[in-house]
Amino acid sequence: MKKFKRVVMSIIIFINLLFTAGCWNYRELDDLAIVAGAAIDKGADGQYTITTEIVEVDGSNDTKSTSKLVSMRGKTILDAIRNGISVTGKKLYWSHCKVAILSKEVAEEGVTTVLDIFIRDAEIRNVVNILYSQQDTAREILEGQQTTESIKSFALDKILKNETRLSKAPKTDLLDFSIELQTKGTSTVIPAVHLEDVKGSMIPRVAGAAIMKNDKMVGELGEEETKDLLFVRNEVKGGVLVRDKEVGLSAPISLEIFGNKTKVKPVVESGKLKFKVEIDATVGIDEIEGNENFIDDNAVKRLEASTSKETQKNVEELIKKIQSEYGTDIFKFGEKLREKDINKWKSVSDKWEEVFRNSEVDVDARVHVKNSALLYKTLKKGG
Amino acid sequence: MRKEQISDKEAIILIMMFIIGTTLIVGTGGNAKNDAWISGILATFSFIPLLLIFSRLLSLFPGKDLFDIFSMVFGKVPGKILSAIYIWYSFHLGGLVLRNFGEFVNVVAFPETPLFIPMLCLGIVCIAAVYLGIEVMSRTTAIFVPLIISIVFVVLILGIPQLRMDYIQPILGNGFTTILVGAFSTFSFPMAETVIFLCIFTSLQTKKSPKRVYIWGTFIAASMIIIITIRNIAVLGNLAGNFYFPSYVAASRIRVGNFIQGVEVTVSFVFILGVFVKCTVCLLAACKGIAKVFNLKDYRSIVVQTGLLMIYFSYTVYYTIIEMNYWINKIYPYYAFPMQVIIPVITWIIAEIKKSRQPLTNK
Amino acid sequence: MIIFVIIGYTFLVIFSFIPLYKKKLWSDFWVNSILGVLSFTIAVLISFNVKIPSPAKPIANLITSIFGK
Repeated sequence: MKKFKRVVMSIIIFINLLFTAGCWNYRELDDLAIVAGAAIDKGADGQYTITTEIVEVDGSNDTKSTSKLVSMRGKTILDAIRNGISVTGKKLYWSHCKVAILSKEVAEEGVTTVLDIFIRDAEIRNVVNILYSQQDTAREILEGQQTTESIKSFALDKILKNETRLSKAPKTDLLDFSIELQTKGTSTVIPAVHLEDVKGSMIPRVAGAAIMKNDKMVGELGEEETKDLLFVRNEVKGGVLVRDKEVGLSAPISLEIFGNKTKVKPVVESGKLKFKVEIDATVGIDEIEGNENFIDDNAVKRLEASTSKETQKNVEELIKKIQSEYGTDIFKFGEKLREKDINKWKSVSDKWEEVFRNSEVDVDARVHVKNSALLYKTLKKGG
Repeated sequence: MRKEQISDKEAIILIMMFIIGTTLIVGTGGNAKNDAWISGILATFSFIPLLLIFSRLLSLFPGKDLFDIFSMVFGKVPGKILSAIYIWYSFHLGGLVLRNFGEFVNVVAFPETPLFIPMLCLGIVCIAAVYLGIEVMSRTTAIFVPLIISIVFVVLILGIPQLRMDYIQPILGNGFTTILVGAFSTFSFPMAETVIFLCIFTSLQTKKSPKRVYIWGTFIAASMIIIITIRNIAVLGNLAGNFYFPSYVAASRIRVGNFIQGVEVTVSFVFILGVFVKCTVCLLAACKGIAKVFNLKDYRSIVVQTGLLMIYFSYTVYYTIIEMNYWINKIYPYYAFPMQVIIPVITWIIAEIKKSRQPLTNK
Repeated sequence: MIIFVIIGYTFLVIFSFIPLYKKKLWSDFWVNSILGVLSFTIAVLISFNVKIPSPAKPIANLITSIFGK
């Protein structure tokens, strides 16, 4: 009996080896087509065209990875994705997908219909960045010339990651986007990308933003406007402020932003809603294209005052423009009101667009100059 | 046969793992949206009286389990009927937990593997653990718990850059009733589920230990759940209620540099161990109950069959994860309320009255 | 599928039923055999893809009829 038991046990263990060693549904690396990014277009016939950038690992002497574009069509996104099998013969593997680029038509028609699969599917991580293509189609972006990275989608991901040092485009990944979409009253912005002609080669460049109303694209913001928007949203972490003669300087000066803190305070004054935006930025003088000196206290104060005023003016103009033209709350004012004063928010949330259009906004920008980098005195010709 | 005994520490660990087991992943108090953590605190406080009742019952009848208590308090036939209810409840709960695990694995890791396979694998492990007895169970858990706690905290710390405390505000923004509803669901799942332990804590060391074990186990588990709930809300914002497994999604956001990514796998590890503990405790309770009702010599002779039935039951109980989630959120709190609160409280009251009249003699 | 089920249950009979029979633990033996027959039936039904009625629906109906919603 004991011997019999031992034999049975060893048979069971061997059977277990077959089943639990993970070879049941194994997928070999060379059977997978690793997707780095996807561009989504919609054709005239109502079918989606998805262009995926697929990483190809070349395993010869030194490992090199290059990329290839594959387009496929289908009635829905998943339909198109699975149709990819009939093109590539491999199942697309989406865990490493970093960007999803939407074309203009798709964005205007509504983004949720397209992005639902991206957030629902377990294989796709929700760190996928959403981009809006300013070109005619989204595919063109992926067709652009590569620069530092051999895989363009990863390059775009890096650009967006380091965009915080530039503050010319918002960074919106799938989860942020869905949260903002689900928040009542708030409208989102997604970064825009376009191709720039640099000596004959078309290079993708991320700058500016697309304004979404509910989930439909209604307008675009330029680079500088986006920076002002980010100031209000308290998402500026770096970047450059260029101030020119129009604010009373003798030469263009570049100020590097070291830090920024923006406070938005909703105030109710005699029944009327008012938002106080307090921008508090710390900058350093990093470039002076002239020979004016800013070493004495007065000059720094003058610089601070004029820069603050300019920033304030820009932000105010942007808010006015958005209020009158679009009526979409991309500044997250509604969210701030909800956080601070829930009762007031409940009373206005149903007609928030109208309230937002008519609410008064008070911008107060303060820019502090922290240092002037290495130079104490500006260089002078024949000084 | 040698009497089994577990130390207080091991018992605390068992209770703790039982409570945090599935809740850590499935999340709790989803109805209360961004006030779910308040619901958690509220549920913990409202559980304290019940917890005292549970431990009082155990120390009134040292060395007896719930099934013995029923027959001593209510007499033989009513006692057996009540025991049958509890056998069904623990059997059902074990099946639900196993199904939850199966769905998790199926959705997250192996979408192409049949649902039955992961459930069968874990079910067999549970059967083996129950067969070996509560001592082995609690010691196995005690070995893994330091790992579990450190995983939870490391993931928590790595996730700090993702936190946005704005999402917590406004506190009490959705009104107080939603919080109460959330608190009720947190109360019934997972706090009051510890009623199952009444069926298996016959092997505690002293008369005082039930109270100690219940209080410490609940306290540690509740604080972990509340912290995790706050983390989930601060990462996922108003989407926290949209996911089946919010902790998994929250952990998948973690990205430290280019090398620490995809730590959500560790979360599944915590989940698997939690499910293991919960499932084993339920199976043990069901087996002990059946053995008591039919006057069997040892519960071990029926473990295999009961365990297999539990696996089949969990496989057939729901058709989809959508149905399962509806059931857990909407039906379960009401369904479990009699077993969790009403029957133990009645039993306790009658037991106290009987005890004050004449001290029950221990056989 | 059905072959796996039968092989599995044969092992179970050898390892859990026969020792009980030999030890003459009759009540253990009978309870165990009833449970065994039940679980064997369900296993066979599952392996033939028969839909087994689940108690979740009736309980849900009962609860909703009591509490509303």
